[in-house]
Amino acid sequence: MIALNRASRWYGQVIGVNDISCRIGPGLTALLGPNGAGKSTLMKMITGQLRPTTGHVLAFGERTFANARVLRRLGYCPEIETSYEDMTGRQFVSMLGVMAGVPTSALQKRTEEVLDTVRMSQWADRRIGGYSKGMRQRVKIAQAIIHDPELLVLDEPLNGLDPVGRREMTDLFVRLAGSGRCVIVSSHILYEVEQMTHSIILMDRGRLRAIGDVYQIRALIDAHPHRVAIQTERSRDLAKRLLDLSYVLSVRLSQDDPTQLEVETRMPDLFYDDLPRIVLRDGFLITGLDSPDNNLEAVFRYLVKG
Amino acid sequence: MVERYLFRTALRDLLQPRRIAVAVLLIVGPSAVALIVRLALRARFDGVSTYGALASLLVFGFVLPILAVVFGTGVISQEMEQRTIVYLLTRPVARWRILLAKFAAAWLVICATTALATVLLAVVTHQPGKGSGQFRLYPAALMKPNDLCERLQVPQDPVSEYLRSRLTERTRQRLDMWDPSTPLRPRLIQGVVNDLNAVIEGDVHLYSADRFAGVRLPEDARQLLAEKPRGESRARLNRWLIEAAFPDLIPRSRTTMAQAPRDLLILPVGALAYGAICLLLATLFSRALIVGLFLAFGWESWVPMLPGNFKLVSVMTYIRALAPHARPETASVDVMSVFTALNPESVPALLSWFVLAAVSLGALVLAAGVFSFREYSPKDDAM
Repeated sequence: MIALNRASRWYGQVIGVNDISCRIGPGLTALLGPNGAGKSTLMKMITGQLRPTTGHVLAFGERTFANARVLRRLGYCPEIETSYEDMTGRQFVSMLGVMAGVPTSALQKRTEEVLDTVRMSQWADRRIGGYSKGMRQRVKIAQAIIHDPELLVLDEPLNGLDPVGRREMTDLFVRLAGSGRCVIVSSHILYEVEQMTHSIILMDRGRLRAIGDVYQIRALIDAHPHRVAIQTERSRDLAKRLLDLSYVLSVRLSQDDPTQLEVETRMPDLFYDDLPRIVLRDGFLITGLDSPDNNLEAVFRYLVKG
Repeated sequence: MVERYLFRTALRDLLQPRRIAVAVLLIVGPSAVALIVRLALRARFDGVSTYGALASLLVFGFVLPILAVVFGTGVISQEMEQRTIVYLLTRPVARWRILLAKFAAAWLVICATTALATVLLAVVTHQPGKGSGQFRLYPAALMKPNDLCERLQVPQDPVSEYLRSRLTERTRQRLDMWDPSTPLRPRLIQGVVNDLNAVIEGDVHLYSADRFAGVRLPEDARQLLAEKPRGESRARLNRWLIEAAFPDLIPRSRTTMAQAPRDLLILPVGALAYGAICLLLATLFSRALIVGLFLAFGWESWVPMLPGNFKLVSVMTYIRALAPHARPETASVDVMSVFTALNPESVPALLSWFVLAAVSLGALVLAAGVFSFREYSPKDDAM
């Protein structure tokens, strides 16, 4: 459905997307990368808002920029939080439905359907200006699917949603992808992506770093030494216990704070399973737990170095 | 269908309560000033001049350009600022159709606001009984018939001299036989009025620069003069020329209610021209509002006053040429009148219609073209 051929996009001297070639077909594909990786730029090129500076971006075999034939088959949920604040949710979805080509005769029915799909029927007559972040996200998704597009591009669609909302929307995306549509979802949260799909495109600093199965990426991440910072009054005792674990590479006590210790492990999942058990068994009081590596930026740094 | 929906949505957006409050201020402003002037001057209040001055200065000079700048640039700028433009540009609708549908709504609001301001101003400045609205003179309507006959009996100025020469032999004889210390005979004044009406309705030689050198012609008369009018327009011009030459003797033919319809016709034309230019600015500049304000209140205010043909590059010159306004007679000399005196020539109406049509059409086509091909992506989420 989508083909990128050596596509690059510059903003003056700054590069947004750097020489990306790939194909995206039906199913759910996650576009994964830290903030500033170029995900939104790539999505804007796919949705015809930006032209590639060099290379080509094609959807359904056609160039995308301001192409009505492509846009008729495409639904887009932008990352922006602002909207038509004075409109009600229903007016917003209807207006964009008409513009997307939904016939007048079917507009009301279709609007109600999508509002119901995103669980917003109850609040659809309120002004968007009074909506919470999660409600805004839901009507944004509703307007993207009102014309039943074959290609759905969703830029950080789970931002601002509560856990229940995340689950509902994730299920919706999986359902849409399961019916043969091409659904592209961007995110900077690995955990979130793992709930939805195995197919990911990994971006960093405008470049495509990896494309394929999320488990392969996971394996790379697991091989990456993972640091965990723990705060407890009996830091020396805990350090001794943790060093007994075979997969712990090192334990370092902080020079500045005697209650702080930093553990380095190659198997973070196993470590997180074992830590509560040790704490409960030996009665440690944990006052702080943090992992400086438990984010995508760290993973990308590792992958890029690798 | 899509256009109608976009138009309706844009109109609804433009008619939000806070915007209506601003529009009401702009509608009421000129008439409020007129009311204050009317209350302050009481018997000395001149409705026609006040209407002319305020319509020219506030309605055409302020309300029209400010609305054109705010709403004309707002068609795109507001969508860019709120970043909602992404919703519009990712729909399968030709961009120029989106632009023109939204612009039509903005134009309608500008027209409605300026029209209401004009009607209200006309109502507030209207003086029943003052201003006949007709070009022919009537003996009963003359303000000082004795003084008029005296001026024609022994002409002291070139205009009186010319008018005397246009009187019939019989009227001239009656006039010469009349003793100014005695009351006027109805036959004499009727004869003078009939002969003056003949001049008003058919004389094409009344005006000459030398003859009217000492007469201050109002702007609308100067404009009409430049058009070399015929028929009814010629009669209107001649009447205005005689009114200007004998301001204390000949009653005003102009009425506020007669001027307002012409203004109501020209304001939408001005709104289209200014609005289209501002729309074009919005497609080209990210800070179109500032550029538009500079254009409306910098360029458009000062360029027409520069000597030479500079005024021809100002849209307001052509709008004012189609809707000239009588200004109040004043003994004081202000900066504006000094500059205006440098440009006594008026622009012909036909040229004005042509220029305004070309500017409107050209700006709209260019704006639609630029909007169709240019990238509009809010900067702060560009990556």
